[in-house]
Amino acid sequence: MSVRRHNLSAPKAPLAVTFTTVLLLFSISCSRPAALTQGPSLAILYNAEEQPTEKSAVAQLLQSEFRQKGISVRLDPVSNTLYNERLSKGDFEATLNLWYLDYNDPEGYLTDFYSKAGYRSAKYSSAEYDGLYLAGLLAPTEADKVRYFREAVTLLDHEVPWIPLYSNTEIFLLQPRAAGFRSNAYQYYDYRRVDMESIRASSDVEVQTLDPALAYDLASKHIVTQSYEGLIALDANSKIVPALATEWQFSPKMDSLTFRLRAGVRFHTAPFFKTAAEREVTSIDVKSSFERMLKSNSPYTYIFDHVQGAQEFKAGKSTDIPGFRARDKYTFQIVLDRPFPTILEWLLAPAAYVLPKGLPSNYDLSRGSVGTGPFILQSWDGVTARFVANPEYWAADETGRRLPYPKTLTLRIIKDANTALTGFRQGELDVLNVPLALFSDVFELDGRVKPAWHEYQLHEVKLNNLKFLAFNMQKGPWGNDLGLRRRVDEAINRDLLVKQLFRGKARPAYSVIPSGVPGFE
Amino acid sequence: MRALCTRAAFLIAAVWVIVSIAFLCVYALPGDPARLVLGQRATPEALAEFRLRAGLDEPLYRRYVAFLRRTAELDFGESLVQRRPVQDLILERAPQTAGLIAAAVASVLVFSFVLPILLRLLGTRSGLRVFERFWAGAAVAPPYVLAVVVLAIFAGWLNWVPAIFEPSQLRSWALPALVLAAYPTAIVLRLFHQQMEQAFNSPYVLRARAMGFSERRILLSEVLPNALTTALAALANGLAFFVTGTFFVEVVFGISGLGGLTYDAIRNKDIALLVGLCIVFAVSITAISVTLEAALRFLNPRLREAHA
Repeated sequence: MSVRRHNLSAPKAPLAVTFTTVLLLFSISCSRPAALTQGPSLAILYNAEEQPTEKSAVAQLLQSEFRQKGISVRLDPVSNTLYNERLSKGDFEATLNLWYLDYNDPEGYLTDFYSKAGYRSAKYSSAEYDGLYLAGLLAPTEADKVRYFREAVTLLDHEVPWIPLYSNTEIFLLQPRAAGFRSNAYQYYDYRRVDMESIRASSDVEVQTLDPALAYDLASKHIVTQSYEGLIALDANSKIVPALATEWQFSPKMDSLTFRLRAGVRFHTAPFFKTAAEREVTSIDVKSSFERMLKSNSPYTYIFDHVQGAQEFKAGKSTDIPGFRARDKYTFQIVLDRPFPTILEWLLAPAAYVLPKGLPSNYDLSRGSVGTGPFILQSWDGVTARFVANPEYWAADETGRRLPYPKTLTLRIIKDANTALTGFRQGELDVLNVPLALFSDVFELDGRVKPAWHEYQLHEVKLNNLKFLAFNMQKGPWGNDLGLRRRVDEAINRDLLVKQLFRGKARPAYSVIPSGVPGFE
Repeated sequence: MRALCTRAAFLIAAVWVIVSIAFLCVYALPGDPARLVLGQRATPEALAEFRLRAGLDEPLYRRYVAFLRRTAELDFGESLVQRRPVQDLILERAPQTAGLIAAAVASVLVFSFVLPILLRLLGTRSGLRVFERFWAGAAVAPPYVLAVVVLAIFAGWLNWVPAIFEPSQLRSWALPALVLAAYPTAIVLRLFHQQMEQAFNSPYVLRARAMGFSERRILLSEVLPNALTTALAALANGLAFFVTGTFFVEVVFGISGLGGLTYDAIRNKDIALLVGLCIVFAVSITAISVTLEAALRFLNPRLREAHA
């Protein structure tokens, strides 16, 4: 799961985007005479500190489109913490929100509508929906899961608790030599095949944690995924591939999952290892990592909800989870309390990454990484993470050349988009993630790259994230009146939004599950 | 001696007041950090447990008392959001902020005192006036705008300095230090220039001239001791500006300092971290200004007599 917390990237909305939006709004209001407003007005709450440029541009565009259709809208931008508070108290009529996942499973997009879920941005509750959601979640096969979830989506499409708006396309500019950079629809960034001595990249939000068990914001994930690995991983095409496990198999009833671990993989060196043998990854390390995550107050503890004995362990009634079985040195088995195929996708989350069993509980991970990943974190000063290549990394490319290619990797937090752009142009950055705030610098109105950037490589990835407008279903009149919500849905011109605001670098969304998710293409 | 004791007592009282105000302000900030830390799928029980552990549901007076006790023991607790000890976070970030402020103060000293004195020694009065106008112009822009503009000019266009801050490169420090120094330089330079001209027109300089002293000796032994004290006092009083100035300068230049940490802590309502930062700022500002005041007293005998 996890919703991206993309915080303040620049204290002010960059001028060019604001200007484009104003122009756009102006041209819309000139083209058609404004209809008289009818019916109740709608207040749209949004977090003005999370992707502020994009949110305010979209909010203003919606406001103007709705006005054309006679729906008057009041925008209500608030701070980060206030937003969370008002959302959990239900103190809003509608909210502009975003949703993104760490794994390629449709369930993550549907959990928000389950009446017993933790977050519930739409405060939606329907016994019929709950039945379909649970039937899909607990379905014994992938085919059954997709069937139930499709029915659930149809129900949502009918009741409109959310209005899906669009899915982003992530844009990167690369120095010509950095062409080997890869990333996927779930925002895992892979620098292993960049054929440069040293590579420098940036993120635009602050890092919350360097502990994989706690990492759920994008910047933390960016850093921990360089040094740590799970049993399985998502490749550039968002397909599940082996990582620390070389193969895995479900039992015929789908109620247990057995992994064969890669032999001879070693953790990065750390002072707490007493012998060389302790550095080798074994099934005991996997078991202890999973138990460590459950003990921490991680946002991801739910991923083991259906593991035998996990609930007792979480409640403090036991010190060991029988469902995590280290069968031999290289065989690890997860025993579930029911058939549950989704566990495989959930293991992709960084919270399920593997750390050494002997890791002291108070060990400060900012002093150095202790994972098995391609890059070893050497230092972290709150803004800059410096890595060196892991000489013992297990993977090699197709020709047998050892990965990673670069000797060093530097990841910096640069909050100001213009600073990052200037740095990239001066050759101080090799990979630049281009946010909406820089679209006017990089793209023509029709989405072609401006000539000034032709010497660089462009890397575009369609993300399986979702930006949407959620209604508070427990608050009238919008929550009670399907007709009103339908009117809003019909008032939105998604093509215009994608074309004008994003210069074509986004996909219009018509369903709560983005079109790239397996089973929902 | 008595003056020093009063001074110390005042200092402790000042820190206590500042820290209490900081605590109350942070407490009064709206919003709930629990969801931020635990993520969107957190269950109500997990949220409740987090609030309990962080003491978010305790009444104000109990939290205040607990807070005072911990602060007295120099235990600042753990950052709510980053879940690391506040001390570690502050120590990790302090060196670059200290470096930035030191570089900025050094720039102010050079631009407000050293260069004007040299210009005056060379006898170019109009040069000094132009110099003063230049800084007045630079100080009109808010620090954020100034930072973006100088970055575009010196890094993007002239390519004299790197756009991306690299603490190990000395050149990287030039722009942030100048941006932070711009406003205090404008004020202190103008004041010093004024005081210097006033002193040159005073009766004691007239007397020195009549006695046949060289202009250089007049400047160094008659004018400077009088002109310096007022301008230095203004600089000492403006120290807090350097701290608040770092907030935006650090964010724009990507410096890993306390300013950027404060900025994030405010947005995340990270109570423990914010209070820890306030204490560090309060103590260091009061300590520095007291030291400077003592230095001024040493420089200017009149102040010593007035307080004795």
